Formats: sequence, C-alpha cells, structure tokens
Amino acid sequence: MEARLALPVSIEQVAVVIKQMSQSDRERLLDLVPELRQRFPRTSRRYGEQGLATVERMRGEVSRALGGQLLSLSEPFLGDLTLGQYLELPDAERGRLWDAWVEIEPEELAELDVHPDALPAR
Amino acid sequence: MRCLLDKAAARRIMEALFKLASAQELTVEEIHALGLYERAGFPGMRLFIVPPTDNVLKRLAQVAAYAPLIAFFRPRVEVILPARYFKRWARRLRDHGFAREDAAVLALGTFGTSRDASMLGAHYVATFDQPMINNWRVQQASIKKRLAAMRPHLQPTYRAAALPEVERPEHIPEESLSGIQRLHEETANYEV
Repeated sequence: MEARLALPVSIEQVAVVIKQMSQSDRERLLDLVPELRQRFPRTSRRYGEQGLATVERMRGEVSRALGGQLLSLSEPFLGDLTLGQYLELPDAERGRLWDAWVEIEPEELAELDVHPDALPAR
Repeated sequence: MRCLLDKAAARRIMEALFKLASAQELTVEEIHALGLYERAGFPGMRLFIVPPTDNVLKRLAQVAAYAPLIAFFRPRVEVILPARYFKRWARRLRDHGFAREDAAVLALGTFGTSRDASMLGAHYVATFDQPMINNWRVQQASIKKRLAAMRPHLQPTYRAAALPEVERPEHIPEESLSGIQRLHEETANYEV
C-alpha cells in the first residue's frame, strides 16, 4: 500500500502560497508536480461540456493562427510589462491599464448620419 | 442579431486568447466571453467592439508577437461608431445613475452604427458589470419613457431607435436562423 504523508497545512493555506508565487516559481512547481497540468473532472462540471468544447476549438484556431508556436509569458506586453506579469495582475488593475491605453473615448468622435434605410435593432 | 461588447467583455476575450496562446488555464468568465466570441462566426450574428477597445487592439497589433493574434481576433468583430444623437442620449443616461463610460456604451447600443452607417443600434450589450445590468433593469421603465419622449424630436430615420438588452455574455441567447429571418421581415415592414 502506498504511504501517504499527511499535509502539515490546509489546502487553503497551500492555495494562498501558490497565489503568492511568481510565474517562474509556478512553472517550476508544474515541472515538479506534472499532475497539476491534468484537467480534473471538476473543470468539466464548472465550465460545462459546451464551454470546454469552445475552449478546445478556439485553442486549435489560435494555434493555427500562430503557426503552432506558443506565446512566451516573458514576451514584452504594453506598459513595460511582460505578458506573464500582465496576466497575473488582478482584474481591476488590468482594467485600469486598458483605460490608460485607450487614448480615445466615444464622446470625442464625430457623430455619423445613418442611411435613411438603416436597420434598427428591433 | 447585433451584440455590443463593453470594454471589459472584449478585454476578457483578448485575455482568453492570450492564455490559449501561452497554454494558460482560463477563468470561467473568460470561457463565457470566448463562447460569445466564437458565435460571432455564425450566420446572422454580428459582434461589435467600442472605439476605445479598437484603439488598444491597434497598439497591441504594433507589437510583433501579438500581431497574429490581433489579426485572428479582428475579422469576427466590427467597431460601433457614434451616430447622431449619441451624445445627447449618453447625457440623459447619466441622469439615470450610469457612470460616463457605462452611459457611453449603453448609448452606442441605441445610437451606434457600423462603418457603412447601414444600421442603428445593437440588440444586446454584453457586460460582466452586474451593477450596470441591475441598474438598467431597475430603470428600464423610466429610460423607455425618456426615449419615447425624445423620439418625436428626432429626424425620421432615428425614430426607430430602440433600447438594447443588457446581459452577461453567457446569457445572450442564441438567435435561430428563423429568428434572424423574422427580424429582417419585421424591419422591412417597419414604417416611420
């Protein structure tokens, strides 16, 4: 029978530690515990089969668009960040960055006249 | 069916694409946003982004590593542009408690048009901003009344302007082909 070590801390505490890790530490962790890369049944329950099918189809399309090459997380992004650093930011912070990168608001644009037979949204 | 993505919904789609391109796990919201984006390739479904989103995409497209991803994303979406009365309507929506940016996207949903100016407004605004969705629903009757009061003062082409429905991406219904056909028939029968 396989011996199992009891965790000295709770799963929640492990999660907190992982959340505080840098991207490189997370990648190292995934190398050490490759099982973490596997998809768990829970994923399917949370997202639904339709969602997972969408992800797989889009993953294929994106891969073809990039010629089969993955984007590196160390790739420079906007605002002196790498892609990995950008994706690690909290959602509110990413939203603030997009606001800063916008440079134009709809109110600054001239209003267009639509065609007399323009299709209304009815 | 025309669906307008607010800035955050469009950002979620782009972030989902970045993650797929770098073999990262997606969040639930990103998967929902991606599901809506995928539907933009279906017949009868048009997906729009606001001009500020288009601006960020243009900046990203200048970075060589992201150019193919932006080139992949762009053909499925169009930019919605302000039509006549957009600013006036956005100001009125701000009176109903919407922040400037929220009022702008909602006003584009009523007085927005395509580059060829062949349409007026969107059927849906897709957003993850639940307070905005709630406020839109709570204020629906008074906003409708306000638009109805404004209508007689508009040029005839704009009197058909309608309010969009505001929903989370996963709640935007799939329009059947017969529904799209019905939509066109109703539009053709519309009299100003």
